[in-house]
Amino acid sequence: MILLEISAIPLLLSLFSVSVRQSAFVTRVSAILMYLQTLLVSWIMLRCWSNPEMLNSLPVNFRPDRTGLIFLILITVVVTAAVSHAVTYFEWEGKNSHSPAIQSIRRFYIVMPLFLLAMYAVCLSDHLGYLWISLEATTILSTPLVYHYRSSASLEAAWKYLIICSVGIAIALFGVAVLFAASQTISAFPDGTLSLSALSAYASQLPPHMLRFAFILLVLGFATKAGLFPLHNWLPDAHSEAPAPASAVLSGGLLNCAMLGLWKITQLMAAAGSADFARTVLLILGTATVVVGSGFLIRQRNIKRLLAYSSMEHMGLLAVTVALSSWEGFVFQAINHSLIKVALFLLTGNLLQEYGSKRIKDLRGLLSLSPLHGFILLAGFFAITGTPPFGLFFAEWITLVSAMAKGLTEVIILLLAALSVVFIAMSIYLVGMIFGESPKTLSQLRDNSLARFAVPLILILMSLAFGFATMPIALLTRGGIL
Amino acid sequence: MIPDGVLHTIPIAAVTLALIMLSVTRLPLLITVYAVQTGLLGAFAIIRGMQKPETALFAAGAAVFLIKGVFLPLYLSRMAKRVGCRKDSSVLISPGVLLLLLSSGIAILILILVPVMKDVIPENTLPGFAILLSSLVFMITRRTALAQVLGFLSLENGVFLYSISQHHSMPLVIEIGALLDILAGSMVAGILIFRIKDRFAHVDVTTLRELRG
Repeated sequence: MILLEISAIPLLLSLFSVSVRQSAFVTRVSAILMYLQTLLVSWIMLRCWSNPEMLNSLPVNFRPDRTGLIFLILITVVVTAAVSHAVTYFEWEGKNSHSPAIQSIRRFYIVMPLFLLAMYAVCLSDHLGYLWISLEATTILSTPLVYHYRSSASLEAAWKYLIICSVGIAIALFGVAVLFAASQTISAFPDGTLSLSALSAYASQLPPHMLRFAFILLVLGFATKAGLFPLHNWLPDAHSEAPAPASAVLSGGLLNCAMLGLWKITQLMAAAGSADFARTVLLILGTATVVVGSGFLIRQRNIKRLLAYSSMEHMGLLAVTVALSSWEGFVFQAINHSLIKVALFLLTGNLLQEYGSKRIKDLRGLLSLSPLHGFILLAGFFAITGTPPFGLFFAEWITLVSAMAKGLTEVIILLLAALSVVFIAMSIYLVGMIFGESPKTLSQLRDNSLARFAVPLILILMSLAFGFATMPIALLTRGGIL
Repeated sequence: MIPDGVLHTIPIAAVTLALIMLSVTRLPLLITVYAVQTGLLGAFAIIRGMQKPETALFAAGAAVFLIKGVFLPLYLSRMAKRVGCRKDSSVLISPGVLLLLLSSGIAILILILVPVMKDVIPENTLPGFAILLSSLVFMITRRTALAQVLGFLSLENGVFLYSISQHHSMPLVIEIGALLDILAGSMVAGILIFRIKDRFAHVDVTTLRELRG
């Protein structure tokens, strides 16, 4: 019943979009429906949270844990934000650019709800097999979103995205198969099982060598999908070539799904008593991703690639929280990164339209053109680099404290160094963008109405509120140290 | 009934075919080699499913045989004709040398590594893992988009082979779900290949290097 309730609106939306002829109509209807969907999903998930027995009405392999419930709400919020900003985004394109092809917009709205459903399935799955199938489905369904603009660059990005992620995910399937073979040694399941809760319950009976082999393969697959180093090549391409609303969903929604898979199998490893092995693997991957991501940030000329590498860096941080098994760190980091990164992708989407360029050098003097845009971008910059009192600061604080509690000084030093590099690199670019002199060809923004920046503003305010709400939790976290 | 001895040669034949793919450059032949490999694996699952008997294994084998072994090769060869792609040369190393290197690599893996790491890599993992590895190398060294799709499909064959050589194969729902994902992925890749052909007048994906850094 719950499954039907949360998938009804997206299915309806996708079907409805097949037949539309007017882009203004479909964008508005989708935005309204997605707001309804957010209310519905939040209401159902919060009820499930307070009363876990409700989950028993779900099919046995689709009973999410608490992390899954939170991620379901988060992903719905991300898609809703993207879709409601898309109203003004596509409207601007229709007015000011020569190719407002209704086919592209229609395709966007057919694919996006299905993509959302595939992400739901990832969050709901308590079964590695279904989790795998839905994760591969997200790749296939989001490829058309990357290839939205029909340019040669977006074609290249879509191709790389499809092939690299599919191969990565295929390796994860091998891991699923190995785990299934391993599960056949559990006396309670002679036929084998892939149910995560069943596997965790009997984890001590799994042969450790096979489990580790499976873990490595699964990590390879999920890390590809999450854009962790060294399997990140597709990420900046796909995120920079997709239209702004799609980039926002790819970065704020899809990456979380892959991280959720990583979280689940790491918890399984911990239940099986191989937590140290999992931690070592993920700490190396995560720290390397943060360091490499921050390195790429330094020499970026393209604003969307800058944001993509920032996502990569945050995925590295998330991998570190997974390694440390710090639930608060993981969830807070994921929520705040999604909120702010979506805001930034949507906001820069406006800038790319107005300035007609993705090059950071060309995007100058925002404050003189539109003070509010400039101000929100500045707030977003402070939020994404983890400045207090924004939520990311407290998330990163929790992560670092729990790393400290485990005595991982070298990891902390590397992370702090990389985070400072990110702060400096981004502030240098941002100062030019916000305070610099605006280009002579542009005297004012063509559309400077409230609708253009309402969604990013709300998201950043949400992250700010989240920061205040989680401040006590973060400051009380001792992670075992006095 | 088919004797066990014959049945056991099928995985080895499949590995050999995956290695042969490395040395083939003519695209129609490449598709044929892939189709034979997949057909063999499908048949392997069907026969094992009948012998056990296990309906799920039989059904999974039949589905793989039909979709991956018959339909997709036909789709790919039609596409190869339409984009006018007949040859796929290898980057980096010549295909013959590559075949030699990788087969000796796998031989070394079997002779040296396996006795040492018996607990880590169970013996029946090997054929599937060998196909996975050689397909990965295949994908890295090939130029055309079509060959990459073939490499991906052959890689999935490795996973399938591993899954069906276990005591119990994976649940049918999962096998079919994975198969449908692969089918959908190949169709999307097919659409992209047409676009690549339209825009660049060739399907050599190694030349797509606009996005860097």
